Amino acid sequence: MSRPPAAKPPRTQPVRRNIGAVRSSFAPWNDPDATPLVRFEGVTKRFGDHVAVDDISLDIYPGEFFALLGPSGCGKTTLMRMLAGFESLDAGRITLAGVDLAGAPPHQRPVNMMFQSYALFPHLTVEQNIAFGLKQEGMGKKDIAARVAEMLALVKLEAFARRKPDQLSGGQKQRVALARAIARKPRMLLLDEPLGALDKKLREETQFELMDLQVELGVTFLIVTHDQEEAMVMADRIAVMRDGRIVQIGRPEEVYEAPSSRYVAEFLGDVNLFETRVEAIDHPMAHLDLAEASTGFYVLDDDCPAPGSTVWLAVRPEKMRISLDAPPAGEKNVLAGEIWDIGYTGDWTNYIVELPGGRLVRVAQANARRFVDRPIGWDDKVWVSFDPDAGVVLTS
Amino acid sequence: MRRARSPAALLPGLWLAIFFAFPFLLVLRLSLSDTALAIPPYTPRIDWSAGIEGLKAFFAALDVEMYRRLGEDRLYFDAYVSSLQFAATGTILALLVGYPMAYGMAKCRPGTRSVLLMLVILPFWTSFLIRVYAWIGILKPQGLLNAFLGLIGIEPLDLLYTPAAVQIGLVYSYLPFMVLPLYAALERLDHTLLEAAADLGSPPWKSFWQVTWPLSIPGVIAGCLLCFIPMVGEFIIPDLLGGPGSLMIGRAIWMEFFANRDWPFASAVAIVLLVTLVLPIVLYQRQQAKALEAGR
Repeated sequence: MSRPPAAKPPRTQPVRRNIGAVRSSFAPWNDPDATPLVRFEGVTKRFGDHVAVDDISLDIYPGEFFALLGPSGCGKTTLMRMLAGFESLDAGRITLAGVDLAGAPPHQRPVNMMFQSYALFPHLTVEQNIAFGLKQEGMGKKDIAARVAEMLALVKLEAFARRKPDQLSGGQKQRVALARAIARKPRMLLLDEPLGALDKKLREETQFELMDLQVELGVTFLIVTHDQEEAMVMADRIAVMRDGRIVQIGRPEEVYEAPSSRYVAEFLGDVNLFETRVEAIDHPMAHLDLAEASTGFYVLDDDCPAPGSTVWLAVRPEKMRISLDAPPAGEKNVLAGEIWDIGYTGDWTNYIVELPGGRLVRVAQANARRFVDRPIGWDDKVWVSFDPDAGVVLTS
Repeated sequence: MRRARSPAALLPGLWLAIFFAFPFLLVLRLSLSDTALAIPPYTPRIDWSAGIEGLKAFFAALDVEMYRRLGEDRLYFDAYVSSLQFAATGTILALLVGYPMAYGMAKCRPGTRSVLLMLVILPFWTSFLIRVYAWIGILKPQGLLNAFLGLIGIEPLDLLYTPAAVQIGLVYSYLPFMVLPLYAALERLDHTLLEAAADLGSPPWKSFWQVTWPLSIPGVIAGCLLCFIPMVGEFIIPDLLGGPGSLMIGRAIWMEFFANRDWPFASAVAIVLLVTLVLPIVLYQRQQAKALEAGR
C-alpha cells in the first residue's frame, strides 16, 4: 500500500482588510455624480527653462480639506498661487464652480489665502486687519463690526482687537491671518504652510482647530505644506508632488500604506526598502529573493510584476517585529542581524539593525509597557520579522 | 537694574556737546549781546581778570534787546513767513516729484535700482554752488529752457530772478533728500502685503492708498523734514536765482552778519529761526511717542 501523499501544510491565507486605521464616509471623489469645486486641467507654469508646474490635472470637491504635499521647489506653492491669481498659466485652465478663472485678477476671485508670513498689515490693528476684506466689498459699518466681532470670537482674540500685529505672539498672528482670510466667507480657503512658524505643541493644537473650523464653516480648504504629519492629520486627500507633477493622490491612509512609488514611500514617514527579484508568483502570494533573508520574502502579490523582474519591497519600521529569540525554522520574512543603534523617543523606540551584508534596517516598537523582561541592548543578536501583508511591492 | 554706562555711550553726548551745544550757546550768547564798534563787533565780553565779579558783570549786561528789535521790525516777520512759504511749497513739490521717482526705483530690478540710486547721488559730487549757477544758464531769458520752448513754439518765460526760479532751485537742490528716505521706506515694503490686499479684494490703485502710502509715511516725514528745514534757512538759492522780491530769512541773516556787521542781531534772527523749526519737530515726536504708548 502506498501512503497517501502528505497533505500540503495549510497555508495561512492573509485576510485582506481595509487600508488604514480611519473610517470615513466622506469621499466625493469616488462619486461619479459629484461636481468638483475647483478643476485644474493640464495646468503648466514655466519660469524660464524651469517647469515649475507640469501639466497638472486635479479636481477638488466642495467641503474637502485637500493638501498639496512635497519638498520645497516641487511646485505646490506655485499651483496654489495660480488659483489665487498671483501667477499666470502657461497652459491649461483652472475653473472654480464651473467658471474659468482666466483673466480674473486676484481681487476678483472668490478665494482667500492665508499667507505663510501671515502678511498682516502692520499699520492696522487686529480688527482693522480682519475688516480689510469686508471694507473692499462695500459692506456697511455695522455689518462689518458684527462680522469682525464674530471672527474675533471664533479665533478667541476678543481681548486683542486693538493691538497692532507687532504686539502679538506668533500663534496670535496666525489666528488673525486666519480670521482675516475667512471673514469674507470665501468659496475656498488657501493655506500656504499655515503652521510652519509655530512651535510643535501649538502646531498640534492648531491642526485640530483648523479641522474643526473647516467642518464648522463648511468651506473647502486647500493647504500647501512640506510637513507630512500636518497633511496626514488634517487632509481628506493628499496630493504628493515632485518636480512639478503629482505622483500620487489619495486619502492619507492610502498614500501612507499603499504608496505608488519609492519616492512617496520615502517622503511620507520612514521606510525600509529592499531591492529584490521576483522569484515566483503563487497567487495570492509572491516569493521575493533576497540575499540577507535565507528563506526569501513571502508577500501579497498585489501589482507584482512577472517573475524575474526587479522590484522594491517597502516595509514600514512600525510593521516589523524585533526579537531576541530565533523564530521557528521555516518561517518566512525573517532577517537576522545585530543591533547597531537604538533611539528611544519615549512613545517609540527605534532599533537600527545591521544585517550581515552591512545593510541597516529600521524597526520601530511602541513602548506599550513600562516594564520589559528582556530589554534589547547594543550589539545584541536579534531577529527581525514581518507579516506577509506588511510590505508593499513597488516597481518604480 | 541700573545699567552700567560704557565710555562708548558717552561719545554721542560728547560729540553733541562739541558740535552742537557749544556753537549754539555761542550764538545764543551773541544774540543776547549788544552791537558795538569793536573787533569782534559786540559787547559785553567776559573780563576774566576780574574773576567772579567779571562773570557777574557779564551776565548782568546780557539782555533781550535784539529780540525786541526783531519783533518791532515788520521786515523780519515777513522774511520768516516768506521763507516758511517757500520751504513749504518746495517740500510739497519735492514730495510730488520725489514720491513717484522713489516708487519707480523701488519697483525696479535690484541691478537697475543701484544704477538709479547712483544717479540720484551723483549730483552731490559737483559743487552745490556750480549746480545753482547752472540753473541761471537754464532759466535766463536766452537760456536753455527758452531755447527749447522756442523750438516747440511756446512763448519764452521770464523766470530768472523771480520767486518761481527760487522755487525751482529749491526743489532741484533738495530732491535727493526727499527721494532717498522715500526709497528706503518703499524698498522695505513687503510685497506680500500687496498680494494680501489684492487677495482680500482690493484693486491695485486702492491697495496703494490702503497699504503702500500709509506704510511709507515714516519715509515721507523723514524726507519732508530733511527738505523743509534746510530750505527755510537756504541762502545761496534765493541769492543767486531770486530777485529783490524773494526775501528769505537765510539771506537776511547773511546781510545782517556780513553787510551790516550786526552779529548780535543776526544771531537773534538765527535763534528765532531755530526755535520755530525745532518746536514743531519736538511736538510731533512727543505725540508719536504718546500714540505708541496708547497702542500698548
